[in-house]
Amino acid sequence: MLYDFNLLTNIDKKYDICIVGSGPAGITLALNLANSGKTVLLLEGGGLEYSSDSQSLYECESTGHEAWPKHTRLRYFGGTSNHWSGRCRPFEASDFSQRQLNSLPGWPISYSEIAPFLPGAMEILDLDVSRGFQAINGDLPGNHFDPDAFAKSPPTRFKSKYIDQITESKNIDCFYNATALDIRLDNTHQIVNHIEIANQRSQTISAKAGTFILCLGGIETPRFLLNCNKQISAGIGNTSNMVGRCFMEHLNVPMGSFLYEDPKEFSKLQFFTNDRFCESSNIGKSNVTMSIVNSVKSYGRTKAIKTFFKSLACQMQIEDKVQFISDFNCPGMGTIGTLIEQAPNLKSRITLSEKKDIYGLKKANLDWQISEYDRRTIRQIGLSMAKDFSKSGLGKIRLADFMLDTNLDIKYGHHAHHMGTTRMAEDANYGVVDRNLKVHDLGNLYIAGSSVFSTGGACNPTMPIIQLCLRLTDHLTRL
Amino acid sequence: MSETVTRRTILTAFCLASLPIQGATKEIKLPNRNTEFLDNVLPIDNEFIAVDGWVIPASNLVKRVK
Repeated sequence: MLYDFNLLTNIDKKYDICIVGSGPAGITLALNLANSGKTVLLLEGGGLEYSSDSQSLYECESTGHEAWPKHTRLRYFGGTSNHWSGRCRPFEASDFSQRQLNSLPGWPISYSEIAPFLPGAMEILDLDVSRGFQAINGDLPGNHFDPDAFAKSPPTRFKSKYIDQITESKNIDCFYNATALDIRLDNTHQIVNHIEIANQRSQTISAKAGTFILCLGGIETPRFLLNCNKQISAGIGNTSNMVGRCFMEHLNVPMGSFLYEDPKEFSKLQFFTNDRFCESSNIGKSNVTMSIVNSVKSYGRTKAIKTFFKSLACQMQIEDKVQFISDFNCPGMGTIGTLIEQAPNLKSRITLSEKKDIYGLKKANLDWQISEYDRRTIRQIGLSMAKDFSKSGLGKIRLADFMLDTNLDIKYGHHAHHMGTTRMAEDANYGVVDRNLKVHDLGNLYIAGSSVFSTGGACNPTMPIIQLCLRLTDHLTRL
Repeated sequence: MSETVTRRTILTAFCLASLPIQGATKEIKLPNRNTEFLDNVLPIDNEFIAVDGWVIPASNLVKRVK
C-alpha cells in the first residue's frame, strides 16, 4: 500500500525489512523481498512528484571540485531514475581483480558473485537479454581500445513502472513524505532498534523492523550515517572513519576535438579501454565517445536566445573568442567526451557542514578531489586515443593544452555518478560494508546503492546497483 | 579651421606621420616561419608528434622539412 506520511500519526507494525529511499535500489529491494514473503516498510523522504521544497534538502556545501549535487539527484518517489539517461554497460571480471589503488583494496567479491544477477537486472531495466550489449562501431588499431558494447534502457522510470505494483502489494507499506532523521541502536550498540522518521509537519515516529537497508545514494547515505551521532559521536558505521571517504565520480574530460576524413562514415564512435592496456599502463578504465556536432545546443530558460547567439558566433567564426562566456561547439566540429574511472581516494570525501536543514540535520559538505593516478589515467588515455585514431585513417585529434602539458590543471566534469562513500571492504579499516553489504560491526543494518562500490569501473552504475540489490535480496532471504 | 579639414583628416595625418617614427624606433623582425612552427611541435614518442595540439605521425614533419 502507498501512504502519505503527512496524514499518519503512528506506525504500530514491526516489519521484517525497513528500506530507506525509493530510488532504483530501494524499489528493487522492496519488490523482490516482498515477493519472497518478507513484510517491507519502504520510506521516501520526498513526495510522489518533484517539488522545489523537497529538492532544496539536497543542497550541499562544496569545498572541492564542483559536482552539482543538488541538480544531479532527485528527491521524490523513484529517485534519480526519474531523469537517468538509460545507458547500461556491465562490470567486467577485471573490475573485481584484487588490485590496490591509492593503497586501498578493490572489491572483496569476485565477478562471478554478481554475474548471475545480470539477466534479472536487465529485465528490470527493460533491456533485451537475448540481444545483450552491442557496439555501434568497429575496432581501432593500436590494441588499446575495443569498441564499447552497451545497451540503452528506454530509460526505465521506476516510479511509473512500479508504483502500481507497490500500491497493490500486500507485503509492502510505502510511506512518502517520510524523512529519516536518526538510527537508534540497542544498548549493545550492535543492533539497530528503530529509525526515527518525520513528516512535513515535523511529527516524529519510530519505524521498527528486523533488518534495515539504507538506499539513499552516494551523498545522502554517508550524510545520514554521520548525522546519526547521538549514541556514537562519530556516527553510525564510522568506527574506522571511513564513512564519506573515497567519493568517486566518472570523469568527463573535454580532451579536445577531432577532424574526420569522411563524415559520412560515422556520426558517433564509442570505444572502451581494454584490460591489457589498463594493466600494462597502470591506469583506470574509460569510455571514449567521439561525436560530430550536428547543431548548437543550449539548455535552460533562455535556451532560444542562447542558441541564437551561439549559432551566430559559429557563423561568424568567432566561437574561439566568445567561448570564455559559454562553452559550446559549432556544427561540424568533432568533440571527444569520456567516462573515466576515478580511483578511490581518501581525500575525496563527504563530511558534515555546520549548516542545518529544516529537520535539524547537518548538510553535506562535498570535497571532490582527483588523484595523481587519475591525472595519469586521463592523459594516457587521451594520448593513446589520439595516436590510434590517427593510425586508423579516420581522422586526427587535437588534444587540449592540459592534455599535453602536465603543468596545467586538467579540466573535468562529472557524470552524476556518486560512488564509493560507504565502500565495500573485507577489512573494516578500508570500508564501511562487508561482502554482503552489511555495515561492519552492526548486525542488521545494510546499505545498497553506488555508495558501496569499492571501485567504480567505467560503466554507468544503475545496472550494477540493481545486480547488487538482487544479490542482497538473495542473501537476506537465505538468512 | 577650414571646412575641408575634418577630424578624420587630422587623425589620418597624425597616423601617417607617426609611422616613420615607429619604424625608426622599433626593430622590425621578419617572422621566421620554421622557428614559429617548431615552437608548437611537441614530440610524443618515436612515431608521433603534436603540432599545435594536433597529434600526427612524426613522418609528416619529416616530409614537410624535406
